[in-house]
Amino acid sequence: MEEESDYSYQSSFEEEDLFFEYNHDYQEDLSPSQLEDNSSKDKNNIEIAKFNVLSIQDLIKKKDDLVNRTAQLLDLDNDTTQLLLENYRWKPQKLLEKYMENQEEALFQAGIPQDPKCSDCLQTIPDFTCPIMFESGEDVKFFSLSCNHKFCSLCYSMHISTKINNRIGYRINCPEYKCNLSLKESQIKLLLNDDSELNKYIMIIIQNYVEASDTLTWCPGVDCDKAIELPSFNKVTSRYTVSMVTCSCGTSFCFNCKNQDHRPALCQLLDMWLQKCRDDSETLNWLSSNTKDCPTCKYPIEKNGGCNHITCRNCAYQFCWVCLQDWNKHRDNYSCNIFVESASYEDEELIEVSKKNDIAIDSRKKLERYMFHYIRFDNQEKSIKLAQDLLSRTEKKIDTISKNNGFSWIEIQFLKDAVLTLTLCRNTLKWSFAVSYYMEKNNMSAIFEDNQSDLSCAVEDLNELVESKITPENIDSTRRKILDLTAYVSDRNRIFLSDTMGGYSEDRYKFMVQL
Amino acid sequence: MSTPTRRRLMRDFKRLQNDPPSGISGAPCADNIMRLLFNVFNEKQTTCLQYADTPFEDGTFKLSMSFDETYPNKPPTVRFVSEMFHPNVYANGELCLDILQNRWSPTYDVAAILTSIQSLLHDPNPNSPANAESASLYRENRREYIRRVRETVEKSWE
Repeated sequence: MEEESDYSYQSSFEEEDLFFEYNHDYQEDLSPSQLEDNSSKDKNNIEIAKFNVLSIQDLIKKKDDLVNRTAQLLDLDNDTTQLLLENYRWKPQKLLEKYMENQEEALFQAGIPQDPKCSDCLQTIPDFTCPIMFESGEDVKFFSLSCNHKFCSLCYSMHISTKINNRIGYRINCPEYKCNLSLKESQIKLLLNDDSELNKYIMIIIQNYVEASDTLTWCPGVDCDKAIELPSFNKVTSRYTVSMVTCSCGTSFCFNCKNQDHRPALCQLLDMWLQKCRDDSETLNWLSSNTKDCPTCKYPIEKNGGCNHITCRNCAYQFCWVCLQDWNKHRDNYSCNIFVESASYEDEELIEVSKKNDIAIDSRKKLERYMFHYIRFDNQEKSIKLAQDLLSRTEKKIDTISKNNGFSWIEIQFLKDAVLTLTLCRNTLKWSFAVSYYMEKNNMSAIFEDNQSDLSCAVEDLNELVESKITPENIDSTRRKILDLTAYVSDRNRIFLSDTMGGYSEDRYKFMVQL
Repeated sequence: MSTPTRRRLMRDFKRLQNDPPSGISGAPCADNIMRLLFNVFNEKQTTCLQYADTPFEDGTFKLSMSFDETYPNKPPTVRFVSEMFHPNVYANGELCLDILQNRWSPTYDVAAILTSIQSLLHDPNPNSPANAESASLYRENRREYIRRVRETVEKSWE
């Protein structure tokens, strides 16, 4: 139905395109053969759906096409059709349905007069005074829609520009109170004498058009005015997949939620997870900095004064605040000097006692479960930030190595590739913890966790290797190792992502929440 | 100085003096035509039965209206100077009235705004409350609502 636009991004982001976030002109680097390649892949080397980057001009053309086609179907003029489409959220199907059902009602709702009498021209009317600014005379031109509410052209243009600048909807009505008739685009053009205002009006219509369309979205990039079209997108399947798109400005984002790459987490999981982090992180911070858990029942205890002799209010266990040991076994009651490597929490008998407080333990367990995943999520996030430093350090390292040892710059690039791959994989790992938090334990989740731990081990190995000292003696072996490991890691990443995304679409996973 | 806004305001004001809606009197501030001060009276109106027996009866409420050069394309800023206890009036005296916000039309003039406010006093809309206490009293405890309104009416005479 739609024409292919020239802006199609069917590029395949192979290994060498890993730079593209740092290289804004990457578009020029793509050879024509890559542009024609129909199966697009993203930077994780995973197949992604085709998408187009559209400029404002493309959008205007697209909108006009839609208006044209609908106008032919309805046998109406373009201006009227545009008003109708606007009123039905740019859904031609819905419009046709309503229009066929009740033509009069559809026209009335959109503010289109039944019997268009209006001449669409400005006229002078002797002895008539404009009811807004009370202008009258021979040099005053009046305009009215079919409702015959006449106003002078000056008042009309002020009314229109106020509406445009205040962005009060896309529809501009007759200024008369409670008059439902809308101005058509051609009438607005006639009455406005300012081109910049007219452009603003057109932008409002385009904005409205993009926001109403399921397959279009604005690029969230700073100062970017492009829109992305993803023809294969629909709201239902988007619940089980993540559609990543990349704008010509270099911004890469999820088509559905406009966040940065959050695979393998689905948009809904991402939403819930971020919400949870916002809600719980403060509580968590406070708990971890101000409380200790009772060694037996793990009830959080805040010490707000007094000595180190603590009696748990929950299970009545007496212990030392400093070393968390049984108070009675404590050798010196007032100066704790027992160094314990790790306190043992597995006292069967005492756990028996605390079972009475199931609810408290349950909430504690939930918190622990959340903590477990949050700490790992947070850790990856911090590592990603550190990776930025690592990247600049690596670049320096590349410089020194190539200067001191006579290697060519291109031969050392493997280090940079390794760091970029690390960042990508850490991002995957980060969001995978949000997924595993919500995932119910079963065989499928075991596979997920295996994949997760494989990737995580490989990532840590690679990170260590990248940061290790490179000397002229070991450079050949290190280089081989890093190259191998980089390939392995990005392979693991691709497998993890594609397996998880496949799992969503085949409904393999069970979640603790309703998706 | 004569701008279209000022010319329009003069016309509005002339209309208000020649053909005043009942129960309203007003004058521009001595130093600034762009600010008008009004008294809205709510006297028992024998001709209009629905207005009788409302708790705001006999009150005299001061109201200020400020205009800027966007008038009449945008509504003026209207607020009560007198203390009010009404479901659609905020604590600072601002009003929650559709024609002063999204339903504004440039064909509205000062007299029309005042008439609308007058009818709002008699017929509050507790579903979009600006004063939550007043709105809940209006809905749930009409007697207490009337008592509180009478208090503000008595204060308005001072």
